[in-house]
Amino acid sequence: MSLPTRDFLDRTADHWAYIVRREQPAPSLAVFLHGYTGDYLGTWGRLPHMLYEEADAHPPLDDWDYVFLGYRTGSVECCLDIARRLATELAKAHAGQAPYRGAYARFALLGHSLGTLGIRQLLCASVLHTPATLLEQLHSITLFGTPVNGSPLARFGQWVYPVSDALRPASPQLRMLKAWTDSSYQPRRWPAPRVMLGLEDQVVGHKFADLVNWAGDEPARLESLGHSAMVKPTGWDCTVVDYLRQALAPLPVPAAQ
Amino acid sequence: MSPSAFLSPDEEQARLAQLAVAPWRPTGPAVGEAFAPQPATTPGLKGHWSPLAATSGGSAVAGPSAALLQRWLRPHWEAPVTDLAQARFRQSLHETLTDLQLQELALANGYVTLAGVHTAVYEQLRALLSTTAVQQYVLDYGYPLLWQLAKRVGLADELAGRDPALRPMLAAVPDQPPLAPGNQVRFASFLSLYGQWQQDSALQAFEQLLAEPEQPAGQPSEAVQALRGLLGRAPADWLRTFSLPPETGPAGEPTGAADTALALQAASGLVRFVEGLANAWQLFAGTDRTELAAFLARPVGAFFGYRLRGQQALHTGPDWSEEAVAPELLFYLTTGTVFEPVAAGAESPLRELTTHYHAGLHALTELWALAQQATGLQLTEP
Repeated sequence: MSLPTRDFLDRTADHWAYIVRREQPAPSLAVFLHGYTGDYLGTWGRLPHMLYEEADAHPPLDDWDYVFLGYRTGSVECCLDIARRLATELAKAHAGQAPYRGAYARFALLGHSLGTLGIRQLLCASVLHTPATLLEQLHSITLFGTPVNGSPLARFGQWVYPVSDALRPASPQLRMLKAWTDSSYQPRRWPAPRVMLGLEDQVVGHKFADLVNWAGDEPARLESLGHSAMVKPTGWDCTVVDYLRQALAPLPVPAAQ
Repeated sequence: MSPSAFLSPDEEQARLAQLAVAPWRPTGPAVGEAFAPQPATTPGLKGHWSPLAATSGGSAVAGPSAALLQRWLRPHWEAPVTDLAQARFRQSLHETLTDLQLQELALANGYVTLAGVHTAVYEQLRALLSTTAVQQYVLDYGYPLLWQLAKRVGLADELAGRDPALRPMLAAVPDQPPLAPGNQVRFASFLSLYGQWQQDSALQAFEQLLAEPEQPAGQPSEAVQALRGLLGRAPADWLRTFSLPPETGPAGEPTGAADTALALQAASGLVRFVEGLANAWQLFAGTDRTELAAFLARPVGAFFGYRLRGQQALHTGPDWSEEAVAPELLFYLTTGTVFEPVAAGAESPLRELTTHYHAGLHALTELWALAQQATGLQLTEP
């Protein structure tokens, strides 16, 4: 059995795990952010394990390092809290501060469910951008099972977690975030978020995608998957890995004038 | 492959430091104080009492301490536990033993090295398993990975030499399968899930229902009645009037607002329990899952209605796998939509939800079967 080409750093109390090239850190970092009642690694099923063992055999995944971020659902009250958590890590990773082993110049953001709202919040809250050029350093944004208009399930969770309020359909938080996104996107722009929704997703659904458009989003893609299953790979040939490959693929070179 | 081939000392130290402060680690002072290896000078359960000396020829500890401990850790089916301090101590011990089993799982998967934890684990395990009352408690309630841990840290011969009753347990420890570097990542993913479960209030509410009550047998708690009533009656009447104050009805119905809230929380926890364990099971696909199954034997057994009594699993509790199949309730929990009969039509998501839930139940059935095999459990009907 050969030694892995990656190191795996895990900080369970910090809800943080990092898969980094052993010899030399990659120039770019893919950042994963889970959703409501998720956890920083388990949400993504076998993906961390697959990336640790075989990312370097699957271009373009070999050109990236990976960090899995988390938070305790009961500790966040609104999307801004999640955005700050994400911004803090991006600032550290950009500066190459410990425990990161390299200073990263490009980032791919991948979120699931509530985590996608944290990403949306970060995109438009420029006060959180460290470095100030953060948007220019974003390679791609992928939103799995994003609550385009909240989730009916939020009603059920509101007794337990304050952030459930953000997920209620047409909630004030959601309306504010959408208006903030719409107004921020015009002057600043960010890479068009790739939105993947699940036909079998009974948590956030998919039908609102026809009615609610978030500024800058690519047209939503609909896959025949449920809310939890859509981010859990079954192997290297599966939907979530296809989306990851697309998210990390080199950007097309602009055609010469 | 040795974990030291892919795990640097710095990383291991960082992991251990994080594990030490993880919020879900046991904090119960009772066991920590009682079992801290220290010179035995003064009798008394807490503070200065040393079980080690009490049972292994130490001269300074008076007999009553060991007797007291034996009484406190008696099988509850022989004499129910009614004293609050005793119940807390037992809970603390349970958390400590569970934590040691989790450490064995970490070692078995190369998440930490034996060198990194040997001294601490050896001392703690020796102090615990050298105590007759604790030894008996472990045999009574079943913590199978402790024997594997004892073998791993080099305590097996000492234990077997001292107590022949332990030899079969120690001899039954299977050989360890080869370790792959990726196992540590699988374990980290499991740990991430586990940490989330421990802090999920809905799941904790359901686990309270799963846990075997050690008080005198009698009427099930109101929460149990409420949840079982909810599961049994959904959706015909109760869910339709969900927003109205529930009436006091025949046994099995929610009896008050707080009860209703707890029942709904626990019902949500039940769904998450099935989904979470199924996810854990999938994480370890393609590996030898024996340790995982052994670690989860108690809660998974309880889910199917089995209480562990040493090597026996008695079918004395409610079988939640049967109680929890009401698809209408799942539909309600997952969508927040009150069930309508028309929703059961061909285009209803109900079928998908039920299929998904049944897939989770199927994973749990596999897990329970392997747990029985891995721990040598024999199922006994009442």
